[in-house]
Amino acid sequence: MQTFELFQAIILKTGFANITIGHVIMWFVGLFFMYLAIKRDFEPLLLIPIGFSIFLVNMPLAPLTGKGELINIFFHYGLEWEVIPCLIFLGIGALTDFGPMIANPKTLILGASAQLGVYIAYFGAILLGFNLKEAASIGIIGGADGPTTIYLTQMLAPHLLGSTAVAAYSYMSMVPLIQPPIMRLLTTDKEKRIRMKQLRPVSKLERIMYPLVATVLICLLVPPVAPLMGLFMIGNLFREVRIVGRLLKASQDELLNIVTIFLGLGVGSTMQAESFLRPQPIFIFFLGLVAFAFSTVGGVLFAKIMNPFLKEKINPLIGAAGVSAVPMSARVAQKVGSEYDPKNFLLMHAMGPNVAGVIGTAIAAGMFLTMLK
Amino acid sequence: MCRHKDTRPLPKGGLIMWGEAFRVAIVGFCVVFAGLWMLALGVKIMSFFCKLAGKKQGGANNANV
Repeated sequence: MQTFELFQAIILKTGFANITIGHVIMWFVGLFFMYLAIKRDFEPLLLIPIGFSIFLVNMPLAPLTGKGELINIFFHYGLEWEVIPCLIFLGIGALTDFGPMIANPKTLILGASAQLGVYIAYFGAILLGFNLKEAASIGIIGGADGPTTIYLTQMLAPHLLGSTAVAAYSYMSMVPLIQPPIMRLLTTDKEKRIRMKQLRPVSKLERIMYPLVATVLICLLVPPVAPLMGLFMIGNLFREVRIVGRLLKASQDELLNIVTIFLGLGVGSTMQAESFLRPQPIFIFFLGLVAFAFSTVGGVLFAKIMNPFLKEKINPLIGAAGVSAVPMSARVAQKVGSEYDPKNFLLMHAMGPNVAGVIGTAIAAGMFLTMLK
Repeated sequence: MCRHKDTRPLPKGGLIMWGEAFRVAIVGFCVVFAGLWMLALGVKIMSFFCKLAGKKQGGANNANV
């Protein structure tokens, strides 16, 4: 009898006896993310750690997400302390070429217009009953900028961090699916074939001066995002001075890769069945899609509005790159453009609004922090 | 003088929130535009001075030659 009770006690302490339908649903969600990454090649560097983390943290009784447990440590010190978003920006800065934007600063304005979705989703969230801080955290998903979304949400509505981060990264990976239909719908064939003048070469001095000028202007305008923008620009300075190869390599490769692993595991760990299978995250996912779509609309339409006032016309497709999914949305602009004119090279032109989008989203986040925190 | 207690309903929280929401959105969107426009202008000015410095440098080099 005692042996039977012991056996029963052991069974009750296994995951098998504690499994719920919610856990199984979340396993499928995790598997879906991994499927998108492995089979469809959607942002595998992010979706594989996120997907596996969802899978892992939904193993019943696993000591992973409680206070002081492994993934909770990544989450607490990396995301809650806002270290990871800033380090990711350091890596992105080290990888970013601001040359196209310096050569054609007009494209910065496209990065501003593509923030339309942020504000549309913000109002949508208020209509669905979220308060202003929560609505701002949801709206910023439309900027298509994961680190900024995490940074803002952690400051304004930390309880929504998991849903907003996963929505932001999921939709960022789905840029090639979401944007092209909107871009095709809003532009005529003639507009899609507009060829843009080749960009002028940018001197080394301009490239070195840019991070300094941008840091001064942005940090003075919106001080709350100085940690993000500061690291973004120092990463870019490593790249452009060309004398700190080791720091540049570390920022672009080792550091970025390490924080990406911690980011993925930390973000995925917030998707536990008990907290995730509720209506709120579903609303957030829906609003994230709305935000992304309207950001694309804003960028494309504003490029069309600018065209009558410009001597050198802009191909409106590059307006869609104003959402800051770097460099995915610039590639999408190139791909859609080349469907209509295979010899039209839009990629470098689209990089201008693309990096402007990163800055635009950071300014939008900074304004939310200034006014709501 | 007898003062009646004001029984009118207070302004609804919802209205206040919508007013605040519009204020945040309008000011925020304007600052995003203004900020990026300022940056574009800053880049233009920076490029101008960098080109000027480049020309001077070139001129000095030529003078040395």
